[in-house]
Amino acid sequence: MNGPPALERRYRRLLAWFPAEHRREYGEEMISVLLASTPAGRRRPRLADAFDLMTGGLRARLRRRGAGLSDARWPDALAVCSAALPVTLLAALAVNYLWNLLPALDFNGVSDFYLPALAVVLPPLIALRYRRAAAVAALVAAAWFWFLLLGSLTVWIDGLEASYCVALLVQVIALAGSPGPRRAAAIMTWKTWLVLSAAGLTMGAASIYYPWSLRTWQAAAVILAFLAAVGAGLVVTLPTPTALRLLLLLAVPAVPCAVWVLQFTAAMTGSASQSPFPLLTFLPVLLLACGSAAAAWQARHRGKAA
Amino acid sequence: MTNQAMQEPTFLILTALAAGPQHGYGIMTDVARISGGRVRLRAGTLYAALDRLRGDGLIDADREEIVDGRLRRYYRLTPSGADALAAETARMRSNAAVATRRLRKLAST
Repeated sequence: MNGPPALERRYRRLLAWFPAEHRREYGEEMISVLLASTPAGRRRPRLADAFDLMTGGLRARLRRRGAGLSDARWPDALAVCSAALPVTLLAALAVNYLWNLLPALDFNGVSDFYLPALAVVLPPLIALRYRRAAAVAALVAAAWFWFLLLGSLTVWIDGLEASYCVALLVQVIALAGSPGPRRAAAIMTWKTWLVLSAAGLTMGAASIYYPWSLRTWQAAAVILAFLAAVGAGLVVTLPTPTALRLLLLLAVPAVPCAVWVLQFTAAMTGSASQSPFPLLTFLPVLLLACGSAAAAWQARHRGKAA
Repeated sequence: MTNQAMQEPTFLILTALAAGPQHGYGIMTDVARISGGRVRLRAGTLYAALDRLRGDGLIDADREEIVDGRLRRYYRLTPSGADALAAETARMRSNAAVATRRLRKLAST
C-alpha cells in the first residue's frame, strides 16, 4: 500500500511545529491548502512555506502557552501571594531576631528588625485600603533592599538576603496585579495560614540551627522535602489552579534561596570551592517573574485587535 | 476590544470574509487580490490568524465539505467581526481624511 506522496509527508512533518490541539483542528485543512498552493511537480516544500510553518507553529505554541498562563485564575493566585509572602517572611524574621535577642535580653538590636518587618507587612496592610499606594510602597521597599544588597556586592552576596529582595519584588507584582489581601482572605482557610506560618517558622529556625555539616545531597533532600511539604500543604488547602500558580510565584524567591543554601553547604563541607552566589541564578527566575507579570497584564488588557 | 490598530493581514482576512463564507485557500487568493498582490498569506500564517480570530469571536466555522478526498472548511464573519471591521474601516477613513486635508494644505502653500 502506498503512503501519502513525498510532498504531503514533508508538509505533515513541518506541521509538527504546531501544537497537537492546533493540528487536530486544522491539520487536514492546512495540508489541503498547502498542496493546493504548491506548484505542480514539486516534491519538496518551498523554503518560504517551510519557514512560515515553523514560525506560525511557534507563534501558535506561544499563544496557547500565554493563554494558559493569562487566565482569570492568576489574580487569585497573586492575591494569595500578596498575603502568603508577608506571613512567611515575617514568621521567619521573627524567629531569627527573637532567637538572637531574647537570650541576652538585649533589645537594642530590635530596631534592626523594624525595617524588614515593616517592608514586609506594611504594603499588604496599606493594600486593604489603597492597593496602588501599597504596590508603590512595596516597590520602594524592594528598591531600598536592592540598594543595600548591591552595596555589598563586592564582598559577598548573601543568598538569603538576595532571595529576600526577590521576594519583595514578587510582592510588588502580587499587589499590583491582584485584587489584594482581602481577596486572599476570602480564598485562604485557617489551614493555609497554618501552612504558611509553619513554613516561615521552619525557615527562621533553619537559619539558626542549619546543620552545615550536611553533605550536599543530604541538604538537597532536606530542602526538597521542605519545599514538597509546603507545596503539598498549599495544594491541599487551596483550590488547585490557584495553588499551582501560587507555587510558581513562590518559586521565584525560593529557588535562588535553595540554590544558595546548597552552594554554601557544599563550600562548608569542602566538596566545592567557596564561591560568591552567582547572580546568574536569578536570571531565569527574574525572567519567570517578568513573564508572569506580562501574562497577568495581558489577561487584563487582552485586545481583540490581532 | 482595545483601540489598537488592526494588523493588515487581519484586516484583509476579515475583508475577504465580508463578501461571504470562504475556505482557507479561497481566503488566501482573495487576500492577494484585495491587496493587489502585495500581501500573500501562507498557510502557517493564515491558520495561526484564523485560530486567533476564532478565539476572539471575530470569525467562525460555517460549514465543511470534502472535495477530492480533502477537507475544506468554510469560515464566516461573525457580528463581532463585522463590528470590528467597521470600526477599523472608520478609523482608517478618519486618518486618511486628516492626511488628505493636510496634503492639500501643503500643496497649496
